[in-house]
Amino acid sequence: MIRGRQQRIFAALAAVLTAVLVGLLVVLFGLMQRQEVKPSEPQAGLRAEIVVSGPAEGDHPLFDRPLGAAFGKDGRVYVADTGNNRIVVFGADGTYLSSFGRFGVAKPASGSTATWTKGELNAPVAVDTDTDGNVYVADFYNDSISVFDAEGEFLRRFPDPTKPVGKGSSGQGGGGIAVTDVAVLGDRVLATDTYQVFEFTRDGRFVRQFGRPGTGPADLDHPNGIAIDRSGRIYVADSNNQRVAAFDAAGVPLWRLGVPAADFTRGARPFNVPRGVAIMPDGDVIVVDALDHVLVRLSADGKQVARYGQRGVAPGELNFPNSIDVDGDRLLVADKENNRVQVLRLETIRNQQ
Amino acid sequence: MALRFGLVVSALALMVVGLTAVPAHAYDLQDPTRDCNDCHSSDETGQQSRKGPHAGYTTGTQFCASCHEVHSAPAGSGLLLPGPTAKATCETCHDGTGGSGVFGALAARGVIPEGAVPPATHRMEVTNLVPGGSSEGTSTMWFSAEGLLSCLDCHSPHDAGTVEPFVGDRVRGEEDTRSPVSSSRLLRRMPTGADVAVSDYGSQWCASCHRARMTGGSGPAANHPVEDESLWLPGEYFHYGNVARVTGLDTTDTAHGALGGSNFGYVMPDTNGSAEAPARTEEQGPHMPICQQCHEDARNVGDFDDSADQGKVLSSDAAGLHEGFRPSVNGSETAAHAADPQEYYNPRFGSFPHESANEYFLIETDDDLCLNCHVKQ
Repeated sequence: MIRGRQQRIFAALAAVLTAVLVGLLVVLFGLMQRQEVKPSEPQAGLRAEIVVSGPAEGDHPLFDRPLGAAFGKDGRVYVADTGNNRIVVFGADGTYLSSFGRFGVAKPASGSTATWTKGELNAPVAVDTDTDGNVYVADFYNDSISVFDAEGEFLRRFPDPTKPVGKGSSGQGGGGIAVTDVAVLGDRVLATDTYQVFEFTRDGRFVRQFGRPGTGPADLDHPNGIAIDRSGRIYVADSNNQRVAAFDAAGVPLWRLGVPAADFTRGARPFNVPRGVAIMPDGDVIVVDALDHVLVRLSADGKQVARYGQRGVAPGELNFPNSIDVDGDRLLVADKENNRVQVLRLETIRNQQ
Repeated sequence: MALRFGLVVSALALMVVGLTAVPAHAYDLQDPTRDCNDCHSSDETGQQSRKGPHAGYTTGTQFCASCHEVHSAPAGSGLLLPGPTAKATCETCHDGTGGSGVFGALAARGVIPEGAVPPATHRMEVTNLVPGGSSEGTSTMWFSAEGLLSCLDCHSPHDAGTVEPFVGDRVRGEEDTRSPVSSSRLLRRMPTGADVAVSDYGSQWCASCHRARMTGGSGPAANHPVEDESLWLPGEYFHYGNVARVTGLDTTDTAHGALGGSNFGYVMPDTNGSAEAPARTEEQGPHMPICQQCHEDARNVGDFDDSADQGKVLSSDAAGLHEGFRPSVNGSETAAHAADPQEYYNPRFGSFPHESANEYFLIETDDDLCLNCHVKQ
């Protein structure tokens, strides 16, 4: 009688434990199948349409840390192949077309010799195009912007890297600008310097400058991205201040998203190192965050709308991305540490259209 | 029968426990309320450092994973990128576009030809050889980039346990209420290989790797001018404290007397008194050298204002914008003030000890270096 009761108890226990075990296995199996998405993680939403890692021919078939890229005439893609001191041109379908530019020193140190001749570059870090298809290259170590036509023929450069610009700039020895990005819209050419934004006309006439070292509303610290929207508003990736700032057409501060490191507080930050900026077709602003490896989308009034992408080496993933350009629903990202550029589509853009 | 039931039930119970068990100290990477500072909250002095993008990581684990391989990510994950990740991370900013250029600045300014290897360089993620690491001349060490030398062997990106700031490197902004800024360059007190922590960026710091240089005069790793340790008082040779250098951000004084608004005591003075390096002063004269006095670029530490007791003021005009951030060869004359600014610009600044146009990272070449100490009578 007792033995029979013990058997029933053991049997009941075994049944319960078996049921629990089966339930646990079902739950675990389900977890293994689930796509893990962290609430605080960027949401994937990028689909690679074109991925290019270089011209695949010549002495340098591969890119060497490309920092900039821009769409141009007829959907062409211009890549600032920084380490190779050249601009590489691709067709809208990613077919290699041509390259132009080679190494030349315009600002030598004392005791060294200038070697620069027309069309030569020294760390081209950014590129943009105008409506005529001309290509504007931020020639970082030569402290100037070099302009080429769509086929790579040198047209001009400005400012003069040997002379002060406006009230002064951060070019070597006080001449020219230590240009980190360039944006062209209409006749306006804007460029970021170490602590300032400079505006020129397309033919290189100096218009204005704004910004200064610091963390205040009008201050900048190593900005590395700039864009202009159709209203004339200027958006700057204030990189070392870990924020994106908007200015009106005259350079008056409008808003900032993100706070400099000195103001760290517990909680999520909008940006770690924002570098590239572009304007979306709907007027939103899209920003590349190099250390978060994501694209951050903002409304024109500075509210975060979405974050896209994730770190990785697969197509559509990013690894220290540095710049972005937009052409309709196509995004062009210089995926620096993957040594490639990608033309991406953002699913949300298509959904909105 | 009861035994069999017992075994079955026990086995089932163990399986349930096994499936529901959680490692006692596992860090929950998915928990957005946790961040690295929960564990890594302070440096050696007990003060949490917050300096620019180099500290104050409170955003959660996703931030740390940008630079770190937390708990070794699974194969195929973008997080498990190999050693070059550290240098790539640093150079995201430190390629000149986000701060001082480190590698490549010499070629960019025409100091060395395009494509040429600098005569001297600490080759990141390339080498594990240490010249002067042993009395035989060379040794190898295990560094942080899977054995190879990495930026992280010398620098602490989080500013944890770093050396004292170089107080001469002072700068402040116009209308900025902060004190003049100095920097430790985020150099670790205990770089890879160090047995003990050192508080200053002096010879002992270099000797964390180049150990044989501090043992005195034997073997092919000649240690001139440390010919014999016995010549000096114990612990006093090659000592950072013996260098005449400014002692604070708001003073021109050094421990050995006033040198004026500079820090020339830190660099090897030129006995001929050239524009790049002034003549050796009385304060400098009797003091023993450190590594950096022969192996270093000239350090500009900025002048003082004529009437102020603060460091160099940066204004929003042309001169102010770059004079503080574009140090010159000559510590008393900045690029903005020089008659020919180009002449005084020094791209080498910030490159040492990463790369140098001079062999062995010597601050001068040819006989000039010798004559700094071996003065012609």
